Amino acid sequence: MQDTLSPGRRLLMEVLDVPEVAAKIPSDADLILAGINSGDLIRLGLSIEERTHLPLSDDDLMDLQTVDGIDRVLANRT
Amino acid sequence: MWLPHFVQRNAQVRPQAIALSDAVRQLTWSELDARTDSIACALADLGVISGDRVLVMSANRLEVIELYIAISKAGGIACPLNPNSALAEVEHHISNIEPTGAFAERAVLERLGLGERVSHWAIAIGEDSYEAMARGARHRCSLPEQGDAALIFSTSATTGRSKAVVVSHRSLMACYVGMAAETGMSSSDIMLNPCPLFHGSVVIGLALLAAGGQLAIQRDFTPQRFLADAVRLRATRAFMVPSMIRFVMAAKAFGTTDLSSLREIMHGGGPMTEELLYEALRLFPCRFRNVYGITEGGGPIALRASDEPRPPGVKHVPNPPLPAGRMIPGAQIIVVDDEGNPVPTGEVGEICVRGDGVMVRYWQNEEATEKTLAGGWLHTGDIGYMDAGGYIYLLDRKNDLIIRGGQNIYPTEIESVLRKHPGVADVAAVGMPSHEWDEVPVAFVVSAGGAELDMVDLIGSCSAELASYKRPAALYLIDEIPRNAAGKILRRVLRERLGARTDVRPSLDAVTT
Repeated sequence: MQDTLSPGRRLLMEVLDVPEVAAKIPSDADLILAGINSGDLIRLGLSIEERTHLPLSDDDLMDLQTVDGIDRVLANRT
Repeated sequence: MWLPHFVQRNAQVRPQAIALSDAVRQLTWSELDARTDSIACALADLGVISGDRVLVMSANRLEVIELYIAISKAGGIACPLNPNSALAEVEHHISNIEPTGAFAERAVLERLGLGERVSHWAIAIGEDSYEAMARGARHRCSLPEQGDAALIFSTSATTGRSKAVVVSHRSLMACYVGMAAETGMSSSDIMLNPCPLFHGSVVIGLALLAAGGQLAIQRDFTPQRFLADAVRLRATRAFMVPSMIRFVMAAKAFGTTDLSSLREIMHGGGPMTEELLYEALRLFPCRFRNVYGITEGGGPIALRASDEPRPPGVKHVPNPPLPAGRMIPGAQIIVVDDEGNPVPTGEVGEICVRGDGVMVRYWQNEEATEKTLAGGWLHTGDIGYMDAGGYIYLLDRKNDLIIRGGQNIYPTEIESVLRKHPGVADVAAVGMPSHEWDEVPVAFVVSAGGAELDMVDLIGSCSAELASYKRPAALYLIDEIPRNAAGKILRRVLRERLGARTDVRPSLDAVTT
């Protein structure tokens, strides 16, 4: 099951207090409306910076609103 | 009259200076004065009269402040509410304050069906109809009195149902007087505001505006945006919660960002640890100032700047916490015992405050008002002591309040939601220490008849009824909630078990904070 998760979803699960919640969110669903705390998204952004050694741009931040968006930001950095 | 007054005055003194800005627009004092006059006229046409409540539910944007002022100019009372509030929270608040109308962003209006829930009208902020109001006919309305209510804030309550804190124009002016006297905030300041404008801390931004400064509103806090805006605007001040400061220092761009324009960062909403303050002073090129306040106190009641000498404290407390500050001008602070009598210097008791900044009352809640304002003093619920120099030291809370990154949560709010679940026999929520948020809520759950509980489903039920910051960070299965003979939950015992991690079974691999 773990292998089928996208990189973005896997990273989201790592930063969430309750990772099981992230596993159930549709890829295109708004994360805040799905119940993700805005503080968790801050941790997500810092975690991406830490892994890729690159600061996030404003466009990147705008994209970190869905699991698909997290995947795009990660893909653009590899 | 304070809100309309300082806008009119600044429009006369510095008409072309920037008053408000956000990511997409800015307003001069002249424009702000004109737009708020027009919106006030439109509100009068909609039937808003003196004392009417108007709900405002929006993410941070300059129109939120614009509305607080315009509603005041119409004689109404602006009632901000977290736009991410769950429907049950909104329904309770609306039934309490009975708003005449509502302003909200389109997504919030639709998610909550606000148009059907308020008495008369609901307007989408920023859309054509809103802009038409802001550009319409303009004439001066009669100003409210200083003692009239300006804002009603929603706060968490021990009962699990929010209370509505009524703040007057006099209170807002008292906040300005105290803050300006102590911090020297002025028309040369540009203050970054990443904190939510529906929160009681917005009074600090209003004080900065009253001083003629520019309030630069950030829609959502991210450390990256904070750094970018600080440079772009050459910001001189900011108000943040300590968690935000920690996040900013962790951002990749922090080390290469020119923050030399910053003169002072004010912080509040939770305790600043000595370690975090030391690190912040080492890495930021500016002074820090602790703001100790409470919504019911009209915002700040005590301040301490990082360049003030560390006070000696009192002899019988060998390792005191950082002092929260000394009373601001206009806020008299005392420490009292359980009977309400002032205690000697250095003795521990409840922190109480009085002055023009203190709230008028809780809306439609006489019992809570009498209890909180007993003897003419606002009882903060904070336990601490005062040294000979007047510095306040905070040690504990008298009630069970959990403060997550500056936002208040009472355990009963979480418990009342989880208790509705058919698989839950009993539940208790407590605060758990967190490196990032200072404290996060967690819940202990007893399953009904040994039923298998789907913990993700339980978390989901919290998401449906509670704003996201109130959702438990972890759930723990437990055989029995410890209670005393009177049935009161022994939260201290639960916190101790959490610390020792004995006698509890983590339901989810969830405790990452």
